[in-house]
Amino acid sequence: MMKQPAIRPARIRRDTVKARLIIFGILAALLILCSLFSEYLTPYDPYLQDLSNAKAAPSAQHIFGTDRYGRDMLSRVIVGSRTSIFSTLLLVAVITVIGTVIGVFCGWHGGKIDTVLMRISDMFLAFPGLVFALAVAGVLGGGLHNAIFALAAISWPKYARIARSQTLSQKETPYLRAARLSGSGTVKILAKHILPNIIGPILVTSMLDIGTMMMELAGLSFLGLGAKPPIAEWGSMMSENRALMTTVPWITMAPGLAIFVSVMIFNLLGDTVRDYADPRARQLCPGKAGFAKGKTGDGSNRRFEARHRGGR
Amino acid sequence: MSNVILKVEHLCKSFSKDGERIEAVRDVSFELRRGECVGLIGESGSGKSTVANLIAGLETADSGRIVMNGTDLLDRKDRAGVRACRSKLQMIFQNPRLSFNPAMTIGQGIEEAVRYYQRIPAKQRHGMMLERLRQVGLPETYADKKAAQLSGGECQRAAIARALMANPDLLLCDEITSALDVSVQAQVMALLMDIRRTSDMSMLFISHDIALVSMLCDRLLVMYKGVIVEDGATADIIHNSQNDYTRNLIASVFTADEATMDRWQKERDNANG
Repeated sequence: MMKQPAIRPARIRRDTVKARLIIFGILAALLILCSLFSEYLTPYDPYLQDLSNAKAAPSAQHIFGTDRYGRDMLSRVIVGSRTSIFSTLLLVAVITVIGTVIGVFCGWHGGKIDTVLMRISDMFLAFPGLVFALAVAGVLGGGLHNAIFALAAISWPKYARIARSQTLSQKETPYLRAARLSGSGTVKILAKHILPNIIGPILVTSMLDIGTMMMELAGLSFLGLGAKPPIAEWGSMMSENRALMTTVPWITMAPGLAIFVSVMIFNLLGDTVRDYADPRARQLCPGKAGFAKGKTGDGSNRRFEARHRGGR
Repeated sequence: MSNVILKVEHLCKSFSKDGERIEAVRDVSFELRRGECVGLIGESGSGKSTVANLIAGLETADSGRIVMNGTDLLDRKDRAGVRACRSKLQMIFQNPRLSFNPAMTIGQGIEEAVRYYQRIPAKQRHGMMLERLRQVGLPETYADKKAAQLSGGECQRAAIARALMANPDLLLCDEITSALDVSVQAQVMALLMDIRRTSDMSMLFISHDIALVSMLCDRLLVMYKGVIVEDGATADIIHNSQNDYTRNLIASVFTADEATMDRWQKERDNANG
């Protein structure tokens, strides 16, 4: 990610971030649209075999060439986008929701349940992520659903931790007391007062996680623990053709390129969303409070620290 | 209806901290009559805020009774009655900025105060909210601002507007001026005194600032280590307190008469040679 010099005027910085947000937002939207309408975009049937035309080099008819069964690689990559991108988005959505619900519940409720759930999440965090996912997927057997389940099992604790600490930081604020005085019940307080105030960092984390999860899902598929052939999925497509890497490299290159580009786009989008949601940037936006503004305990110190850790 | 708005009897509350039991409130009893403004003073840690939180239902009492308008607020069976009673109780807090949800506008925050207790059409509620904003001396445009865009004093005014929104019978003010600077303090106090003149709302005004309390309140309760050590008319307590702790507390208030000022001037002159 490009590092912005700290002395740059707030307005320019903010405008660049906004421009980046729009560009990467559009790119990501295009990617998602492309995967949504993948069936209509493919020049050939991605599952139609044509053995007479197998392992064809990239040409005008087949931009990415064909694989060992003569299937058009471009069509397969386009169709594969649905499996790859949608499984990833589903996965991230699931872990965000589950993690947030558990975290908010723990933070709000406290007590023994909190301790138990947090120790469980510690257990999950103690394992190296992908290795644990491999074990889970191995026990459950292959298949896309099990791969998603395995990755969800290892990644919810991160969200639970964030949601919990954010909830704890909100819990004793006077506005929650005021809300209780106004007769709001627990559900209303959680939904109307706590969630809107803690959702920022959680969403940023999940945006940043899209790229990672896409890689890990493709990795599991590559190892044969995710999507199974003949389903077009980028990871399994690479794995399918990896024996031919030395003779016909374009077959592995096509899905590899697709993974690279989409992970890149989602990562850059995540980075930009983080910059955009950065409270420091918000503080600096024109017409509002400036740098040094802040009282004891209002988070000015946290913002200061964030500034010196590159905004993270 | 009897003239007594709030009756607190033998209220007790203890916390356990690091395995140690701290009795924050010990056998506290007092009464508050309609339209009366009572000051609750004492040093920090004396249990003033805990008393307010207990009355507001933000913490649960270990024992004792809190009766408001004839309803026992700690009665677990009469939920509807307690809820109806609580809708007439409001509180203003020490930290004005954090008194409003940062994700909501001030207007929404003020409307929240009546949203769940009464069924008021949105339009009428909005009108009420603007009216309250005017009453506390804020322009109507502030309804669309967020707490972060307001100064501390403005936030505290908005918090007062929120409290007034519910037309409360009882208003608890917990150190509401301590986070404000002196000139803003005076404005907020003037506003409160104004409200006192125009309504018959009762107030429990908690502060460690005796000057402010004596300016606003008819009666004082002095609290020390969780116990009310003195209860009486403001003037009586300020001028001839029978209690040693109260006398110390009053003596500790910074006042400089002319003789003292002269003495300091001389000391400064000496120091400067």
